[in-house]
Amino acid sequence: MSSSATISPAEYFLRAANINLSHGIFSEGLTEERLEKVIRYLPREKAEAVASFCAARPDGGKDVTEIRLRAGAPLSLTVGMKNVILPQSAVSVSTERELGETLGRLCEDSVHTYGETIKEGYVTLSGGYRIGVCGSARSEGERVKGVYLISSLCIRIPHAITGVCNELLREIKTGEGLVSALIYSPPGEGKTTLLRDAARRLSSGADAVRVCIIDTRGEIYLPELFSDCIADVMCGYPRAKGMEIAARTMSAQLIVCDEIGTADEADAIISVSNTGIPLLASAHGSSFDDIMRRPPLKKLADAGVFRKYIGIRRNGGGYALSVDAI
Amino acid sequence: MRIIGAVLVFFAAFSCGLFAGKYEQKRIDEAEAFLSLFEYIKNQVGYFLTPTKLIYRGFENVTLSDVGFLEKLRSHENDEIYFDVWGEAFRACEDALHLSAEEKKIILGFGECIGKSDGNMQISRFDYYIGLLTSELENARTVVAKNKKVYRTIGFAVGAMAAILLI
Repeated sequence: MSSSATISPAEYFLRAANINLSHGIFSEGLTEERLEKVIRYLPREKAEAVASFCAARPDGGKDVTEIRLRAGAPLSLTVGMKNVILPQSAVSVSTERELGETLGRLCEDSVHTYGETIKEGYVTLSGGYRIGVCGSARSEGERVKGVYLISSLCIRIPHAITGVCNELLREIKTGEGLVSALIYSPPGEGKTTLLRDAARRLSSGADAVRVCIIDTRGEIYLPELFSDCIADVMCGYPRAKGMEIAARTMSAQLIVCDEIGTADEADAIISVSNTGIPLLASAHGSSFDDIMRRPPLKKLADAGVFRKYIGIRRNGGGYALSVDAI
Repeated sequence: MRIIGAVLVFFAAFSCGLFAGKYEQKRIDEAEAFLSLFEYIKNQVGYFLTPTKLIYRGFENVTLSDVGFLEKLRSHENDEIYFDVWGEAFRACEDALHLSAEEKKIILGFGECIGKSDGNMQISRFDYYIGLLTSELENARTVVAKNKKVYRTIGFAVGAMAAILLI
């Protein structure tokens, strides 16, 4: 720690990254690179703790999907579907100050740029990283005016898994063309991964269609995966506005959208569905009945927007789809 | 010969007085340049919400370019981990600046606020530092104007005295 007094903070953290690299765990592969990148933003001791944890795992930490920091509590990792809490110590426990500084670094010293999304509870970095943020909020009615004293950060590592959408494509590609479908599952079960892979497959190759991705939280689009695709990406747009633009000005043949669920979005979707453009969307829900209990989604069902409701069921390392056709 | 020597001595002393005044003027120019950079950053943060690493791209100022400050700020645009660039850039150029210790402290303080909080909070902190630097600048202008006259007068007087003695 004493060396930090003589070097710049940027160098300090780059050195921390080198320490991580010296473990030799991030040899190759997109997931490892992503994990390595995000570790660089963590406080030095936490970065080392995560790197040591990954180094000790047989797969080198490939299955780490989330890193969670909490003020006054030890760092935890989501590994597969399990929560792993690092042993409580001065190293693993974060302070509010550390969380604030980490958020500052994650925002590249541009908290003002991310101010609006921080109020919504997240920050999105380039490359599909989404950081969940919570703390103490200053609110006015239902509106959050500001967030201070950051108490938790949830850093999700995007997994660029490809070749998982065959079953989904069989469901949405019909003799009469693509049909609208809603993919649902509880959080963290792979909806975004499935959407991303489907968008990539449908927008590439000889039968490519013009896919418009409404990537409100910057999680779907990973530039390296879409380099040979004809997908148009709208990052950061509100979903309803994005759909309107996709239909009106981008002449999309398929609109892909993650995590719909508000009344405004339902209205926009109904409006877009009347233009005949199919929509591939996702929503949180553990069953078809769950989905139907959410008023905006029920409204969409009543309007006959989605022809298929596709649930994701995780089984071990893989997953299965359950389909309800309407 | 003696007259030529006296004239040369007179001009040398008078020029020294003028140069001393110009050196003081540099402090004013630099403080003004930083003040306009402060206002520019405030606008970029408050109105455009520009990411910090891209804020400095559109700002032009000869004084700050000459000391290498702007170049240093912009040299980190592609850094993967980006923070505390202001302090680093300032410290790298500090020797080339003519500012007072108080002015330097204000400038470093301003840099520490950039990007560290939401837009409104930053704006109020920027306003605070802009106010401090403006008041320092006002004081400096008065002092420098007075000093310039003093240096010129001393240069003139010393030159004249030396010339008279020589003659």
